[in-house]
Amino acid sequence: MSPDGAAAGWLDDLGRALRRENVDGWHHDQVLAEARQHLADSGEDPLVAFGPAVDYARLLAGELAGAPVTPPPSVGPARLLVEGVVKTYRGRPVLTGVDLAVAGGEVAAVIGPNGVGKSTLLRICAGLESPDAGSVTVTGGLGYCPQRPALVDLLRAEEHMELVGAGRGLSRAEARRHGARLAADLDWVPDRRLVGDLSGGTRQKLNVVLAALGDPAVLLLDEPYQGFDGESFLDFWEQVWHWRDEGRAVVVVTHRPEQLKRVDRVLDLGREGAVARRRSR
Amino acid sequence: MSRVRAVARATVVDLLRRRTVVVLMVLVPLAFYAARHDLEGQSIRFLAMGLAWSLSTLAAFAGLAGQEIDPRLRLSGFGAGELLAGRVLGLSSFALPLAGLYAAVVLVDRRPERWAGILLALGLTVAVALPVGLVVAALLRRPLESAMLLLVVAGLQMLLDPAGDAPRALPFWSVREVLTWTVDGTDGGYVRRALLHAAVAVVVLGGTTVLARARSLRRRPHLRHSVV
Amino acid sequence: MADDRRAQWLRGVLDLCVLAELERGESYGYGVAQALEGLGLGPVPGGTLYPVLGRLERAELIRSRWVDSAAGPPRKYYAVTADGQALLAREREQWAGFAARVGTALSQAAPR
Repeated sequence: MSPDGAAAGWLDDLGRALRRENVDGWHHDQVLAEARQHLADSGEDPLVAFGPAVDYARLLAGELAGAPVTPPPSVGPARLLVEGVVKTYRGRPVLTGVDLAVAGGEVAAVIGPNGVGKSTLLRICAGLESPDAGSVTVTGGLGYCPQRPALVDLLRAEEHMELVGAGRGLSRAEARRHGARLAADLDWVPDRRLVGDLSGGTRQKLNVVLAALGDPAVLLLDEPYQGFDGESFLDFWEQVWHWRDEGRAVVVVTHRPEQLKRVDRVLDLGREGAVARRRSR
Repeated sequence: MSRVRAVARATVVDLLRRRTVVVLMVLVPLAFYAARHDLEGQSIRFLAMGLAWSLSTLAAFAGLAGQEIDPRLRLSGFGAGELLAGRVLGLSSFALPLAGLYAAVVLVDRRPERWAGILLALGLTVAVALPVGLVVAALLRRPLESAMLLLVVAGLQMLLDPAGDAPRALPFWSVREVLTWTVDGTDGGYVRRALLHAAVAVVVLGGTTVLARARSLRRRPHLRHSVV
Repeated sequence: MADDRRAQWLRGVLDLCVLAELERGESYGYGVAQALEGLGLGPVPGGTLYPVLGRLERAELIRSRWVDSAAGPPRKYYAVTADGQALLAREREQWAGFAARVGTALSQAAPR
């Protein structure tokens, strides 16, 4: 087996072992990302560097068991309140009683492997899909950024802003101005090209801008940074912290561990009976 | 009202940027007309059915394009009715001048005695073609399937003799009936039946479209909005 | 045997060595491992190093951030905190005293 193959196999084993040791979603992702980076940097045999995956997972789990658990303190009233949401898709339970409360000035991350219903949960929150049970309460305006940008290929970016802005009660000029400001925060200057001619990353930026247009109080963002380069990715998260500071409730579906440390809540749908855990900042 | 206008504007801009489509839209009915130019009645009927097909297909594509972005617009504060009204307004502002152009061509070229019949027939074509296209888009939700179905509908309507029973079940029967009155000089009963048929077609097809779109964009009971 | 004993010695002070290394500048896991090996402390396997980094971070003696790297995935960088610096200053003195006493204990000359 090639060294890369050995590392990949060992990392898979480690991921499974960590789950068995109940190392939670956030720690799990951090440990894996760091070990993967180490093996890539050093080119070492994982068994020499870390020992058997099961033993390393057990060691880490033991370390973490001693870590203090912060109880969820209540912060302001929830702007997004998800209660007992259940969804079954073709006979397969996808969401089994999901609870999540996000107050103004908080960022929640929804994580978990593919197919655990992250997008479904956001669509239910946005009212685009009905759950089998449970309810969602939204206080204030709602902005939703779908995973696949719903755009009209033959319209320009500014024409999209005008159209979406009209729904939010903005005049055409206001919508363009506000859209340009949001775009600038993502390091993008909209031009006169048709949206169908834009790169995937730029379409995603428009997708984010349209969701945030008119300053909705609750923002639902479904993996909004696909196609962003590293710089834009950081710009995007800057924008998220900025929205938090403005008192908005932000929910981000993500599969990247980098920013999880800074979010206020992590909802790991990969775990049984998913309940948002509050993290201390 | 500004919301309806915003949707109408986007619909028209989206349409006009499809240059090839616009050119074909203008040429198809004219080509049909020219193909049977030797026969007055046939050429006008071909023109009308060509227009019926192109306008309904256009409406279907506008409807399909809209269905992609409608959920997002609904979330931004548009009502389902505003979205549909805007799309109809945008399509009409494109379709009516087009129908006017063809009416002018026929009136100048043929100078028919019952010239009002030409105006009425093309007016009914627009009135029926838009809901036909939109309802097909709302129910089939796919472009190729929609275009094929509309081709079959317009083709059958062109081929079947309107005197039979079967063609009455097709949406553009009223247009054929008015043209019979115009070209063959039949009695006024033809016009009355045509108007009734067109009215029923618009109400049934338009109503179905409204229901289908309102259902897919409905407020779902699990989502409550509380105001601060 | 000699390597084994050296590993045991290092285990007792690895956290301090890591802290000191991070005090010299922000770095990431493998960077710290290489630096310590460069100082002649022998190889520090990832399986030993990362748990130490985790413990130091939970004790808030160091803090971390993810930094996008030009090539490849982002990297977790660690830097020492004010608490970490204070602890290091205290322990440095203690270690110097202890090392001197060990040196004395192991010296060949008979004590007077």
